[in-house]
Amino acid sequence: MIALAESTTSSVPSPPGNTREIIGCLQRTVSPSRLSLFLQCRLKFFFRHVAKIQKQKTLALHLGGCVHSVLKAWNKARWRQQPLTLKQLHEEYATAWSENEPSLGDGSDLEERQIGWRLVETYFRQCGIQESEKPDAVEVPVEADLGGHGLPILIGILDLVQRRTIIDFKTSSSTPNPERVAHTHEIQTSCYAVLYREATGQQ
Amino acid sequence: MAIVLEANYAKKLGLPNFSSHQYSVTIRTELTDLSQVETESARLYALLQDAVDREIQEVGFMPDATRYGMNNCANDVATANRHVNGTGNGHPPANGKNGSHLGPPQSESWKCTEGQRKLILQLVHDHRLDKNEIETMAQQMFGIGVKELNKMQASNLIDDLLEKVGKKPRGRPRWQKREAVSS
Repeated sequence: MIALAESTTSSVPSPPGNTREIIGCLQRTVSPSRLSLFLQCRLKFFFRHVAKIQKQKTLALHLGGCVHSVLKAWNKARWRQQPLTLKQLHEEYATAWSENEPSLGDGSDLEERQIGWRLVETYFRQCGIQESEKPDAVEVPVEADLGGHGLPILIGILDLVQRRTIIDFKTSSSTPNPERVAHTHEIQTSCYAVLYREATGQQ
Repeated sequence: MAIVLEANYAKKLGLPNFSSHQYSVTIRTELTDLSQVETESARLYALLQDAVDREIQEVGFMPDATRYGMNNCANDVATANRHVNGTGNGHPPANGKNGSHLGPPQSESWKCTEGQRKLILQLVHDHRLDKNEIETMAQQMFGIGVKELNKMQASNLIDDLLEKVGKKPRGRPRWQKREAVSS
């Protein structure tokens, strides 16, 4: 990991701001992803959030972002009771893909783009959510002040809340194992449960 | 020589709203013979467990998770500022004294935070938004009026308002959004 960080540093400007200020900011608020990263590897956390070393954007990350964009548009449209057609959704996907696309120039980006759209189509087929059904919340930033417990402010973004269920979209190259997913994302789902309760007063 | 047998039974249980409580009972008794240890230990265990289980059912004071230990005022301002920061808008929240029919200056009649209330009113004021249209938006999205929105719903409405007034770039990559919110 150190070698990776060093090689990336050469193409990235020095971290902005005072390190002490950055650490102070990191101590005031915490997000599930930051918390998970901190528990996973302190050094990785330091590189990403203190030294602010930018990770090179991968096609997989870009694909995930594009899928999220389409699902967000679909959910917002359901909310406004103005459902989008498949063609409109595909256009939304194409627009998202063209923004900040990390082109590799070897044709693999076109293949990834098709994979991403197939993921979207699969989701629509299998999610079991009707177009006429309104969501409770779509990509909503929420926070919970845990200062009373001696903890920082917990912040996060809920992808979708539907039927009082918190849904976080994940893209994966293989069919996920439910038990493993529950274990891997335990911190995130627990944090989201706290955030949801704080933001709505509901259990 | 007397043999002293000390038995302790403790139980800690989780409670709603991130609470927990615990209770333990310790008893010390004297035995005359080592052969009594096993029987006496079993008897004490059952006795203490029974006592602890009976008492621990009384949970006593339970904090209200929505208010207990929360610094609401600071939290509200932080919420509003984070919404603003997260979308690249550096303006502080408005003072909410415009007498909008979306609600009176008093925050009591709004279910969202004070910071969110101020931000909604500021957006309406600064961008000359039609208050009826905002009310309709809230009705359409949540089936309730703006003042009835809880924190999560208000946050979503604010996001939509920011998008509406062009303060939130469309299609902004998700990881950037996360960074912005967490900064």
